[in-house]
Amino acid sequence: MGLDLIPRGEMESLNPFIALGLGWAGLIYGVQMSREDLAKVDLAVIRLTLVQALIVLAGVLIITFILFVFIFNLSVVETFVASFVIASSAAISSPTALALMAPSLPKSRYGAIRTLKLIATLDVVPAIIAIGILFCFFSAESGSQFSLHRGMAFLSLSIIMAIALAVLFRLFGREKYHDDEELTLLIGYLVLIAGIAFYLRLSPLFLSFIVGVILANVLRADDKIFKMLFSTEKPFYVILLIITGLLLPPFSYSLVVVAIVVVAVRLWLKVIAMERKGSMVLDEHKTAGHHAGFSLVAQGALAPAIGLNYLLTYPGEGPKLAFAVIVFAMIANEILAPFLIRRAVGSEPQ
Amino acid sequence: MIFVRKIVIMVMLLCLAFIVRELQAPMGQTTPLAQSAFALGFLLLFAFLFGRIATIVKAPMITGFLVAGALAGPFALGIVTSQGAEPLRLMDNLALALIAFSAGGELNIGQYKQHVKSLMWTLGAQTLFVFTLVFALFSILFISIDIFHGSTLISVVAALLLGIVATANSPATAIAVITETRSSGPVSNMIIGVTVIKDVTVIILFGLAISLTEALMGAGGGVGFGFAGHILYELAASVAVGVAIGFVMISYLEGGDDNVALFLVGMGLIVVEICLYLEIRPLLAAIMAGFVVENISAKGEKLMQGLRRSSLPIFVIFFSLAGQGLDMDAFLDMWPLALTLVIVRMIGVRFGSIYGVTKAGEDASIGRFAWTGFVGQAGVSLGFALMISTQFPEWGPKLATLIVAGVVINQIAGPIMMKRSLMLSGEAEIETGSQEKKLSDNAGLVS
Repeated sequence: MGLDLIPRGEMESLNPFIALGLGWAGLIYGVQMSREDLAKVDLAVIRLTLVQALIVLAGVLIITFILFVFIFNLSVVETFVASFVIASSAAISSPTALALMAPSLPKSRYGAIRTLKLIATLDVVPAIIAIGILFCFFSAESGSQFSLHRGMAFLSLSIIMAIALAVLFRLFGREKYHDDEELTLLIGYLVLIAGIAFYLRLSPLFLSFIVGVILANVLRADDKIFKMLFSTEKPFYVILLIITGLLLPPFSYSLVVVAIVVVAVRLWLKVIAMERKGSMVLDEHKTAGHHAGFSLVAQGALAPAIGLNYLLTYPGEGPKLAFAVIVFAMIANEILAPFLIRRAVGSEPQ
Repeated sequence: MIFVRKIVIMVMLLCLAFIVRELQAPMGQTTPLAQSAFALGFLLLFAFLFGRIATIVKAPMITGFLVAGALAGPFALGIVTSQGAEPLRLMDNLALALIAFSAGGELNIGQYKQHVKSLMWTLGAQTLFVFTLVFALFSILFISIDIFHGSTLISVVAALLLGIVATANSPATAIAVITETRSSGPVSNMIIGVTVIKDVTVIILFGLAISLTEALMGAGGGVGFGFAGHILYELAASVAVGVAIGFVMISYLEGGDDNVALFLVGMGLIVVEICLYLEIRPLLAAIMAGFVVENISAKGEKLMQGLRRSSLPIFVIFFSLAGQGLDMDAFLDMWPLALTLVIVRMIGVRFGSIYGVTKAGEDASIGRFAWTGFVGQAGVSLGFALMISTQFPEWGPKLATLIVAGVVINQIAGPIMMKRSLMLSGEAEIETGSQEKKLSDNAGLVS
């Protein structure tokens, strides 16, 4: 698609960076899921988050499945898995765009913006869990075939591995380190999590997410690991995006058409879901409740991470097609985000 | 207690690695991504642990990284296979490029101007002493033990090449130990200056030696004096690429961005890719780039700060992969001869350094402490061994095995000796053992 400066063989050399990016993406969301912090969140917000994420996931899954059946020549199972991955990436939102725009938005809307940021942070949970479960029950090892027995075994394996890795980290983390030693430890740990996941054909995002959840609930909130993880956000995010760009398959009109449909359906479903259910938590800011779905349009780094996770674990055409659709859709969503966020929360409440 | 905890973590890490491998076995072939990510993740943590243990026993961390790499590699535990490590070669080269930026950045002309005489004398004397001793002794040894099946010519030629290879050092090792101990002063400057300049001179000498060998043998892998020309091209192109990269780095560093680590990783990758494409030396190009930034702009300190911040993960990757690649079979095959080579080389290095420093009119104690910085050998020597093995397939592999076995000993012993010397000279800011004490002020990574 591009200048072809980096030959295919050389791409394999970038594997450690891919592992690092995926390990980081899962862990950074996982460590935000501490029981203590979640208890402070209004139950209605959690309910709204789950409902809107599941509505988008189900809606995009149906539409993508139909489009894939008509446009691409894949088996039914591969079509389902590819559509499910696209739908999972569509379900998530990014709080980053909201956070970046917050200073330019009316101060009177800060309450609504805070709630929307919370929703955008939390709606990755059902998506990552869905992906993790999909990878277990439709494992790459079995050629994406459904197997209940294998699925249960893989799911148990994911959880056991996550516990073992969390224990390992806890042991490592008990010692005192210089900053450069902490960075080394963090990089090694993230690459190891992703490496084990790829080795056992599990989802690195799911595995590192569970590790993150465990760590968030057994460590203290002021532990340096959290600071270190968030302070490395920018370089890891850049690495993830560069790799996404490098692995992007050739341009095709059919993929762009699917991506446009996914963007439109996702946006419509987000708006509908937030309009119907948003009044539960946003009724004090009626306009935000009305157009709140628009403010959840940005997808952030996790969407391509989900696509990469699928592309690098499963063989065949399905992963390539799904990855391209996810990336095209993400680009469109990121372009639309500033306009739509301003539309949703950019004016004073009526 | 700290030691016991480290052992517990190590056992747990090993158990986890073996369990993962056992679970994977029935699944069949893994992807290169899975192999390399698993290998790197394991190696980073395993080597990091060994590095920390090394400081407890007063050895430099890089010795721990090397030992960990060798243990995890195919000759011991087999957790990191050659296949798994293959895609990590880019990481290896990237780490080398970043270390080389650092080496170049340490070469401040102003600082070295008044010591040029002593650098040159040390370099010349050391090269001459090491070459003469190794060449003389091994010519006799090779002939007397009949290692090359009665050919006196091959024995002499092999000793000549061995003598040249023995003069090579490892700037990466020297930089790593100096960085770890935060050393500064005349001994550290001498070590950096000589190892970096020698990296260039030894390449030229080796090119000439190979050409001479070819002329004497009258046959071989088609090298001849064209090979010397190729070496000259490599050097000139490496310098040109390095200068160009240096100017690119200056223009970025002069901008306002203080987060230079990611930029340096990108530049390191660019240097490596360009050099691989042009078939030139990334080490020399990256040294040149660092040198240009340090001496042409005022941004040398910004460059060094960015490199220092990310130096540990770079060293862990580079030296654990170096350890993983150490050929233990070669060492076991040739250890008596290799040990002889190491001892003779050390004698040459020690007396050459002291003689050179004294002749230049400087304090002889600089030479007495600095010589240990020239013991370590790594990439360049291994590259020469590979070249000898390929160019002279009839007798080259045997000589290459001896070189590799010598490198194994030098690379383990060299950093330990160097760290001790830096501590004795009073140039090391961090003394072994006090590292743990200093850390007691810091909070742990987790509570």
